[in-house]
Amino acid sequence: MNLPAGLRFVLVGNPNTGKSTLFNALTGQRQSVANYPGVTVSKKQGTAIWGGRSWEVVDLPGSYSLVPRSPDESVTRDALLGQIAGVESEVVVCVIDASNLRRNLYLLSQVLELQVPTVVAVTKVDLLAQRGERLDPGALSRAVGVPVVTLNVPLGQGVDALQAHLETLRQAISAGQWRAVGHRPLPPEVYAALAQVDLSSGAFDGVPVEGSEPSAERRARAAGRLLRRVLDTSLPAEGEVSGLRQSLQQQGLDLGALETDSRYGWVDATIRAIGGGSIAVVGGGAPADGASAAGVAPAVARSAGLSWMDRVDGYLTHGVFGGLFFLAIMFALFYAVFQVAEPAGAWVDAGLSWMDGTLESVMDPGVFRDLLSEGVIGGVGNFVVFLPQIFVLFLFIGLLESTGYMARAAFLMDRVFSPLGLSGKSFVPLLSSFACAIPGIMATRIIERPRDRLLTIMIAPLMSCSARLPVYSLMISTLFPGQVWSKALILLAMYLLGVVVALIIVAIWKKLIWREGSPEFLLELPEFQFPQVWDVLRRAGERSWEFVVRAGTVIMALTILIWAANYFPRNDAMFVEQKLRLDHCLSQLVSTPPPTDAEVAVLEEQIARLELEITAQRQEHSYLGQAGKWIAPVVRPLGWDWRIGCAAIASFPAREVIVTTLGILYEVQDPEENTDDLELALKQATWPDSGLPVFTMPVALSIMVFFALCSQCASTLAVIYQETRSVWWPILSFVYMTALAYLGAWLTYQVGTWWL
Amino acid sequence: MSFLNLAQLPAGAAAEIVEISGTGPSVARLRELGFQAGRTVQMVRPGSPCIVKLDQCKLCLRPCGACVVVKTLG
Repeated sequence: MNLPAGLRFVLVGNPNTGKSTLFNALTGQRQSVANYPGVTVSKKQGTAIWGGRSWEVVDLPGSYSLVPRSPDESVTRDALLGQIAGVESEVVVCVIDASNLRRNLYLLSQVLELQVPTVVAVTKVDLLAQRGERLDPGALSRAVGVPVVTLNVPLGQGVDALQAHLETLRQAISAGQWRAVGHRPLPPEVYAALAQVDLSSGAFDGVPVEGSEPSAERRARAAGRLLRRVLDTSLPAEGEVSGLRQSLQQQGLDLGALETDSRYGWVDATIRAIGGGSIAVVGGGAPADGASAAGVAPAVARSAGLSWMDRVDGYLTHGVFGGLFFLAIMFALFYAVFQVAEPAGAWVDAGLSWMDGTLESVMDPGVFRDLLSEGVIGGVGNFVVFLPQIFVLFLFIGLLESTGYMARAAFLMDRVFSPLGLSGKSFVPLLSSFACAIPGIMATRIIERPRDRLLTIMIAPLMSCSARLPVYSLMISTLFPGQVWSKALILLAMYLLGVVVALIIVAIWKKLIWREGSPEFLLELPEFQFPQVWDVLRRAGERSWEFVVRAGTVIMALTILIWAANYFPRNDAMFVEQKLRLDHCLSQLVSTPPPTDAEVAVLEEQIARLELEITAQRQEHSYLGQAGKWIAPVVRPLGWDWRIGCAAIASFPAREVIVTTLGILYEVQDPEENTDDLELALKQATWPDSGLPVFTMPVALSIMVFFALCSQCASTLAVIYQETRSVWWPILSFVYMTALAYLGAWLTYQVGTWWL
Repeated sequence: MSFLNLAQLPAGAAAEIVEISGTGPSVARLRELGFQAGRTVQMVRPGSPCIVKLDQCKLCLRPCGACVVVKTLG
């Protein structure tokens, strides 16, 4: 289908205005929508189709201002200045939160100054209505000089009007009829100085204008971009920019306060123009009448409208109640994860046994059937069992984000982080890292100071991600019998371990290496809202599906490699004698006269012992078994046998592989019975010399601690490289985490054997 | 009527901003978020960090480099 092109437009707005919801509605492309600042961590692109045309939509990270304070806000500024290839926008859709009109109009003013065709989309008018206020889009449109539409995306209202406005703009632009609006909120001296600059060089408008005189529109846009560079003191003072800044300063203008003061002057005038007398209500400018006496503070609070949401917020951000609620939420998360484990596990197990049975009935015995049965179904299946838990984890974190609780948690956690040298803002990427470190590391772009961001990137992989969950689940359900709540507590302890170690590292790093104090902390607490249930469910489903895809690709490939290393060389000449004895026993079972029950029991025991002998010897002589001899002494101090060592090493590219690998390494001992029951196989595993069980509580704990702390994810290291643009940070991350993991596992095993 | 630092406001109290000074990056950001002389802020939860309400919007802040001088109303 080749539709004619529409326009390319960008969505710009404050964080949490509903930009991403609009993006989803326009493009149908899935994307995360969360109710805390900083979800769209990089620009997202999609295609929208309406009116027989194909439109390109770019969703830019939410920004309060075009003067960036963090890497994600820089993306928005650079995109609007035409400095990011592929997102040179023809049209800007500025999304404005009606319930925070004043602050949102500030950004609109900055956008209008760029003299790009703009449409304003007003969201959250329903919140305004709840306060008994209303916004007249026609009046706002007259005041700002560009089209204004009101949107209620969840109810599907206003999207078609927005599309119609964009189509009108498209026609006007292509007919050369679009005219820039004069937007002049700054003092006249600024525009006088700007008029002195020759803008025809094209230096600020991207493409130099050759030959002909640039149009008034091109000139206006170039002037807008130049002005942006002059006002944004984080941009270098080059050429005209430097001259203009000097000239403004010589006229006694303070570049620091110039923009905010005069622009908010325009904002307040605009609000007066559209709201008339209701400015106090719309803008919240003047104090409410009850605020006459400062001595009666509670009365002020009530009259100024502490809503029930504010009171709920009061409890949620309270040092004690809020903290307890936070812990309760965290515990509920882990409880839910374990609650779904059992039924889901049984269900997946049944499916796997059925597949195994079908395979055995339709295929002849041989290497390929073994590969499918042991390598693919047995290996990857052991991982798929954990899918429902991963889904629940993503669902829970999605709900925390969507309701707005995440920002409250960041507020609470600032008290923990600030004495250590970070701010509560680091908490948001860290909590995301509990689902997966990759989006977590990308979310660090909301952190202002580069060093704080680097340090957060360094500790983010210590948060127990969902890929660790299968390891914890397997160890806990195998070795820690008891109630669901006691298992959830052990799980919680594992998650806390990563957190505590991360905090210690931050404290040491900040005190000894980067001797600097805590960063400032400034975060918006968005209004609580009912979660966008479908968005959250869909998102959790997508993230879980990504895990299935991983299981089907990376994990399956690694699993097959491990299986092959464990299966070959297939030198059956070694077992000639055992095979003969095995055949003899088997023939006796079916001989005539039939053996007595006692004889059958003896024969079956002999068969089982012989089979075990064969598999054990075969494994010992396999490539993996030979490698294991080298690994054994290294992992012995951790309480591990060579098989756990092999499984841990095989898990360095992706830690989930341990589960599938353990499945291959231990289940082969007992091929006839219960091939899918990995837990049973682990419980039955013994040391060959002593006959004592391999998996004891200290061993299970030491494995869990190792996996909690170790850097076992190639994708995470790749993302660290991508975000830091240096090979040294991923190397440092790998080295310190792996060393810490070995040390931690060793300590756990030593202390564990002494205690338990 | 008395002049205070924003952080000294008790819970629930509203006050008018008199001046914002300081050197930290949050000074500029506070201004961009709408903190200007003459605006009314309300303390929702005092402490460090504190939660304040400005124009219906709640912000939590711990601005080390910024000094927001307020005048209690009345």
